[in-house]
Amino acid sequence: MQIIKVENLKKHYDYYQKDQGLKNSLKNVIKRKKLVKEAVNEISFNVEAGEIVGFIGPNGAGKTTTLKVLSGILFPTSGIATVGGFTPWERKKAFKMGFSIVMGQKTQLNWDLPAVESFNLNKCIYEVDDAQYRKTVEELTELLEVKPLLKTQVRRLSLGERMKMELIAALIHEPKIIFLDEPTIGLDFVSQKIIRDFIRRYNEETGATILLTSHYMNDIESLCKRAIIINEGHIAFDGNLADIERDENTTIEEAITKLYENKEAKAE
Amino acid sequence: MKATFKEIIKHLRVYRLFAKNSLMQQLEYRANFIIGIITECTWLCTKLLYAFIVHRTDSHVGGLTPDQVTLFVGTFIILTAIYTGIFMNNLGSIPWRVRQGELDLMLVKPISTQFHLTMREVEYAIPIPNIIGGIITIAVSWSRMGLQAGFVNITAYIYLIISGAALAYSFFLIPCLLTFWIVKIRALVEIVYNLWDFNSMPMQIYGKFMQRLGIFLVPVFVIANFPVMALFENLSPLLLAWGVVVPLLLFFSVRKLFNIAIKRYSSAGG
Repeated sequence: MQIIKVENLKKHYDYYQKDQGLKNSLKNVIKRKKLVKEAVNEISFNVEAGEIVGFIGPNGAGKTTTLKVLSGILFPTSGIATVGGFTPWERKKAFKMGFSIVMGQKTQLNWDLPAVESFNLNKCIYEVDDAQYRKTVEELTELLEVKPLLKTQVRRLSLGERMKMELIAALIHEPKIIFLDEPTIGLDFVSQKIIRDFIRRYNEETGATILLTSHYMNDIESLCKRAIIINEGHIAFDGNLADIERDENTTIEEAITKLYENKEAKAE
Repeated sequence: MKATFKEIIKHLRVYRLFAKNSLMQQLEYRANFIIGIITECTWLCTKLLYAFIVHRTDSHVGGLTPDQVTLFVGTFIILTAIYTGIFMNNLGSIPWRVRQGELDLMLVKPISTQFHLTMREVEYAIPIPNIIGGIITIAVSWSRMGLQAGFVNITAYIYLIISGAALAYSFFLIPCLLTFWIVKIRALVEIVYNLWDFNSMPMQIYGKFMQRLGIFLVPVFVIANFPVMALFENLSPLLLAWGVVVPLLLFFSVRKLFNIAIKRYSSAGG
């Protein structure tokens, strides 16, 4: 069953440019030249229920924008998308109850309080019953090895520990669809591995569909069979990682970089 | 209907947690909490000084006796406690929450985004001295006057205080929502926020034109003047109707504006 369907999705932003110097700042006060950034340009893809799909691309390729549109955070410029049967940007409650998004660069935890307070808040927001909540927190804290840290204020946690807490907070309501935007960014390799193993296990045990972006090829290779490579708002490749053309001497990173370049050449 | 009721209960539960978490959070920084209370005490003293001067000079402001003015000041202090405790920090932080893209993670939560964005923090240090000071001021002036207000007047007084607070919420939310269109709006927000202090004295100290302006066009006087006027039976039926209608009208208009505003949200940070 296709749980995520994306058809000709487009997201353009208006912005304006400012040349160097005060003179140009003053000029901009009077008149601004409007420019359009094509963050996502007519992309289409589908994701089967239970799949883990890696979303790869250089900075500014449109990965995060796509995830934000699929989460209902942003309205697209045009195109169609359904996630779990809902149009995300209608922001229906039933849609929000069934998915989760974790952004490596943003936090949903209360900085000054122990993470367990944020979990409890999510329990209330997502209407999770007591027994289910206790079971989920117990299991997840054990798996991610953060049980002794439940009473420590989030601001005192290391980046890796905080990220694990972010994951738990996002999974309190057992979402069927999970968007992970660079969940391992800036983490040491031990933490990266723990989080990776956790994501794999969670997918196997719950059958949740996961769309993952990461700049670490280790994450992608060990978790995803399928990858979607996006560059400058276009899809450059969609298929099995194993099918990316490369010879014995080329690393997967080099092969992917080549795909980016091909796309750029085509665009020109 | 049943579903709406269930949602209201859920939001009240979430609000209880917001309030609890805010208190725990503020108690983490003890010094800041205590300094907040002390600073607010000095603000309270300046307000009480007005009442004191009015008494010493036996001034009759716009036909009000010094005790009536004191009761007005007490009401304004209570409203300040409600406003600063429940709304001020939340509204003040909207522009940066929008600019920093913090709204992202609020939009995905299955609760009202407006509620989440504008009610998530409760401030404790500032309202504590104001609630105590306000109640004492009202009680003292009430007993000095020997005020025999009927049940209807007291009900109207309390209702208009609550609706005054709701009006303040909607009114001060408007400039914050403009942040969805113009990103940085500090100058505008500061100007509008200073309008709050127009309530520190009864509106009778202003001319007729200013009074009409402050009741009908920019309804700041409705916030603190109307409850006291209702108590003294100074509120004509027309003004009473206006005092009931305008907070509701503004509240629902702001709700509409909020929904338009979040459609424009363009997020930030990648």
